[in-house]
Amino acid sequence: MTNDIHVDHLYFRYHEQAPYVLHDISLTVKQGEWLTILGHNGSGKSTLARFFNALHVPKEGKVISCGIDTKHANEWVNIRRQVAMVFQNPDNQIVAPTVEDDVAFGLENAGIPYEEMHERVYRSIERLGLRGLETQEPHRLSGGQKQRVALAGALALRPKVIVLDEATSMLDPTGRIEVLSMVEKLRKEENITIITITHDVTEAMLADRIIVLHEGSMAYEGTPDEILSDENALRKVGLRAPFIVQMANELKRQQVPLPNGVLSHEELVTSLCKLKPIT
Amino acid sequence: MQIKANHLTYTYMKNTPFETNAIDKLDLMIPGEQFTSIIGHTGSGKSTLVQHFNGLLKPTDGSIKIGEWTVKSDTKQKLLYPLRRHVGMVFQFPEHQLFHETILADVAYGPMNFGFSKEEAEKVAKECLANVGIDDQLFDRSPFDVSGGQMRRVAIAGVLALDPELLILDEPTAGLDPEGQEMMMKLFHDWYEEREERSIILVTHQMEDAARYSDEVIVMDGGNVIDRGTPRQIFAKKAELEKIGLTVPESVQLLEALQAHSESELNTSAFTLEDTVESILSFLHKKGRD
Ligand SMILES: Nc1ncnc2c1ncn2[C@@H]1O[C@H](COP(=O)(O)OP(=O)(O)O)[C@@H](O)[C@H]1O
Ligand SMILES: Nc1ncnc2c1ncn2[C@@H]1O[C@H](COP(=O)(O)OP(=O)(O)O)[C@@H](O)[C@H]1O
Ligand SMILES: [Mg+2]
Ligand SMILES: [Mg+2]
Repeated sequence: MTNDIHVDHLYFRYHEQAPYVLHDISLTVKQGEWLTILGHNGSGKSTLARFFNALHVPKEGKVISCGIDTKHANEWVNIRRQVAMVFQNPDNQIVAPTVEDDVAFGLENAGIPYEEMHERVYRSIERLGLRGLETQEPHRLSGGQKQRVALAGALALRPKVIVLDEATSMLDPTGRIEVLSMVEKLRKEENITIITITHDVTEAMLADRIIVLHEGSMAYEGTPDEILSDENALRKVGLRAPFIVQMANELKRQQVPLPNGVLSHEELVTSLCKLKPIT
Repeated sequence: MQIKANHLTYTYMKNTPFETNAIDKLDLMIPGEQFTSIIGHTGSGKSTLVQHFNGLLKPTDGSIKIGEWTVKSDTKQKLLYPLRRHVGMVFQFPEHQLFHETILADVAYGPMNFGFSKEEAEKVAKECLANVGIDDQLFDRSPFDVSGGQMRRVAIAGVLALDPELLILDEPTAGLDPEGQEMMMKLFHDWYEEREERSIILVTHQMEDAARYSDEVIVMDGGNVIDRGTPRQIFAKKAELEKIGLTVPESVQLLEALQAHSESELNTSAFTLEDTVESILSFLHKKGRD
């Protein structure tokens, strides 16, 4: 399998005298993978993400995106078409007066011919479940719908990778589920590599693999099972284990013989029912 | 501070094709000296409603009474000024409202604006900054040179510096990491507990916070209040809440799933880890049906 993103010994600081905000980051993201970058506020997640599509370019270390070294300035437009970003605030990334214009905006910039643009825009709108809203003003949509418009704009670029930088953190629970289920669908049906950036451990459960950033360094890397079940490790980096993990651990401390690795409601309920004396 | 809405209506973009009644003929009384949470999906009117509580919005129709102040559509702006002295408001992303050169000046601005001398205002500002956990080494820094979490604390210190009687919090922890959220909620709760005659109104999507801290929960939908009660009463209505796009706290979800799956009765209104564990332990120790 090929790697869509490859980061090699990356160091970064915003100014010559400023402290490093990224220390020796090395990671790869495989094609078709869903990677979550988890970390507290200020841990360096957004800074790192901006290296993936050449919004930042390394002075120390190396970043290869979709097979291209991001140090080549003449490739930046190409890289940004292949690695699309969706950001936190839905209101700051909507630029056009209607949903369809907004989805088309990135394509116009990329110089796609009209016929093809038309086809791509309507296909993306369809894929994101936005049919019927084409001529709506984006500002009149719900937060979840706005983020779906942003995702449709990203999808229209036919990217290999979509990076979502806290794209659900301003949404209510319904909006959050709405957006994440679309992301899941894009990964499955369009084979797009997904990188989500979050401090929400529930969202991190959806990933294939998690890396945890802490003060600019990679603190842990592993599967959701490995990372999210370690309550103490998460606490050390300013995060919290999922509620179910905290519950399971506390019950074990109270001598309830639960199996290891309980992560979901269903698993915990089933295990508890097995322990209940019948008569 | 008691709040009383009388047929309160608020219309955005009145007399345009986009006219919407964000609040629709609402009658509501919120008693003073309690911790009240308002829940409801996005667009249900929560922010519009609470902006009436400190006179940021005036009713299009009807009236609102906050403590001794009554506000109607024709109430003079000048009369709203003393109201804002007594009702503090923390918006979503309050750090967007910072604008002074130094952190200390930002927090001292409110008290100075309301007639404190510079020395008095700075004294109050320093106390409030200490209360929200901002180290004195940061006082002379620009509020834009600190982390997002610290910026938010500075903004909150600025609201607390006016020593409000009623504190309105509109999704105050949105975007913060779990540790930041926990510390922020604890800060508000301590502020409320440690002082006499204070009220908090919290707008939140975190059902866990609404359940854990509130005396009363108010449920909004479509610009109106559709239910209210203690956390125990409100979060026993999972199906009703789901119908309007809300959920119950995760602890309640777990206990209800356990109850359904095991077909036995258990206490499902637990909102803390300890209470949830206790409910499960008593479920395990109780013998099942013979
Ligand atoms: N434009 C900038 N100039 C200077 N420092 C910055 C800038 N953006 C972020 N930082 C600093 O870099 C660190 C990492 O920030 P960021 O990558 O935004 O973290 P996260 O996305 O994990 O919250 C923080 O200490 C932040 O204050
Ligand atoms: N500045 C505004 N202009 C026009 N309509 C608005 C404005 N602010 C809110 N609304 C509308 O008023 C309704 C209630 O919004 P709001 O009070 O923000 O709800 P909530 O805080 O519960 O999400 C929504 O339909 C929203 O679209
Ligand atoms: Mg960030
Ligand atoms: Mg609101």
